Amino acid sequence: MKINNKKRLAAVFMTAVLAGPVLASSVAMADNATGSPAEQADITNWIANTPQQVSNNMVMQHIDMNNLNGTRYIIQWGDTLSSISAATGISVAKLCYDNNIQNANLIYAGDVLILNRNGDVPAGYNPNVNPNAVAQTRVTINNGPKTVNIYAPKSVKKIYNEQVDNLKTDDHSNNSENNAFAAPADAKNSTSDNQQSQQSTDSTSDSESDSQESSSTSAKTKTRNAAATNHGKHRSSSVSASAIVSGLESAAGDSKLSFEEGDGGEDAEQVDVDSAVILKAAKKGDYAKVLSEIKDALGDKAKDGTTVYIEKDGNEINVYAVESDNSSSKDSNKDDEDSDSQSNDNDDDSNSQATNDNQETDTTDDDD
Amino acid sequence: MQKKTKVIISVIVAIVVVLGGFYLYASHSVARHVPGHVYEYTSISGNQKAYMTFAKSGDEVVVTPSRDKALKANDSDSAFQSVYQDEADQGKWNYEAKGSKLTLSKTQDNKVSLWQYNHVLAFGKKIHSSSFSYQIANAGQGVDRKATNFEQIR
Repeated sequence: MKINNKKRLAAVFMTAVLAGPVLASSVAMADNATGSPAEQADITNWIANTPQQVSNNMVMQHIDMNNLNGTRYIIQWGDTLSSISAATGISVAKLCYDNNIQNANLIYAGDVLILNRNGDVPAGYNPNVNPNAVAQTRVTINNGPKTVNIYAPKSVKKIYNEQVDNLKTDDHSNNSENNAFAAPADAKNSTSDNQQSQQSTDSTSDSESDSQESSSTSAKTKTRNAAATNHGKHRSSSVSASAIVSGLESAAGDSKLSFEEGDGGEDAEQVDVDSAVILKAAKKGDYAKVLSEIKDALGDKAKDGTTVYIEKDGNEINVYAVESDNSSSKDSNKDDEDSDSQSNDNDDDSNSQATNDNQETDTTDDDD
Repeated sequence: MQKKTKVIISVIVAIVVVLGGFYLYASHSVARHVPGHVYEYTSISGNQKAYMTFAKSGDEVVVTPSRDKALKANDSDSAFQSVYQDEADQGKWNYEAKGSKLTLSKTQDNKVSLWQYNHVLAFGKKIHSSSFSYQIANAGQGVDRKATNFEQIR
């Protein structure tokens, strides 16, 4: 009896050893939506599957194709709504309706799609989707490198260059909403983080906590790390309003003019200066040229008691002048800055840039 | 120097020259190899295949999981255009073969995704790449040091 038990135990053990890998590979093949970055980035994942391939995937997931009534299917790499529709006979609209897919072109590899042949789609239901878009990824695929140099084929160079330019702009503004090479889900998170960061910058006066919060939120994903890195590079090469003011003070020496940071309040008049020239000269540290540009623009106003106010709005330098000392405008300066930055909220690109530049100014101040 | 030593050095130099020449040839001939041919690509995981029919002229390429479609596209120029246009809904594919690099691009919804195969060695019916770089729209970018292989099937 003991021998029989031992034999049985050995038989079970051997069966487990032999059948284990087979069962494991079956499960793995049924859900191949995961994998290493190299496997995920593999070109075969981004080629649209044929309906036959989708059918095969469904068979691997033990789906009875004749009885699709709320059946759960794990979306595979290369799947498209149109290929799933062709494989199952369920219309794209029905798939979208049952799975609440709307106003996006995207289905995600690894997500569950409910397959339901029963029921109808309400009249007038028209999902705004591209049924030929392959399943996307929820997490940005990246194995370390932040910059990739690729020679694009000539015929797509124009579109590609636009995409890369957008990417640079997005990195510059620390906003990956339109980051062409980030997963949409990551980009959305990043956008909300940026909005949060922006709100905190606008509403709180503690500049240090703002910049810390901004940097901590920007470190949440690899893509955002890259953006933060680029942002850091930008920070080192940009010039804050306070730096321009101190540069002008030393360049002016015993001049009649005095310089302050801000917009000078209601009494100040904007001076028509070439912002690009000032910014370029300031970056080079040539404050004599900045001063000369401002004096030329001031003309007759360049006299005793005139206070020149420097304000940085994104990449623009605004110069204001008040001909007599006005302490009240100076006191209300910070409040005006806050209200200005809030009033810029309608500008999409310049808005986030302005927020970042405010942070730059704050950081510079802290350093000082 | 002994005669034997000279012979050994000569043989070594000859081997180095031959291998170097082979490497130089193989690493710069991908642009000559691909036009007008169909290649079978095996995925990194090894369980997926893709078929690529490179246009005889121009930079268009049919990339499909269907071997039949890929072969059909290679029948004639008009067949190529027919298959290429039929598949355009799934994205338009183009390529650039230059030096030791082979780049494939997919354009869909005005967004470009690129896969560049680096350090490509092309010899006979085989193309071997030791790494690839990618920039995939809405997905990510990076470089992977995984070898990939293409085999000419027509």
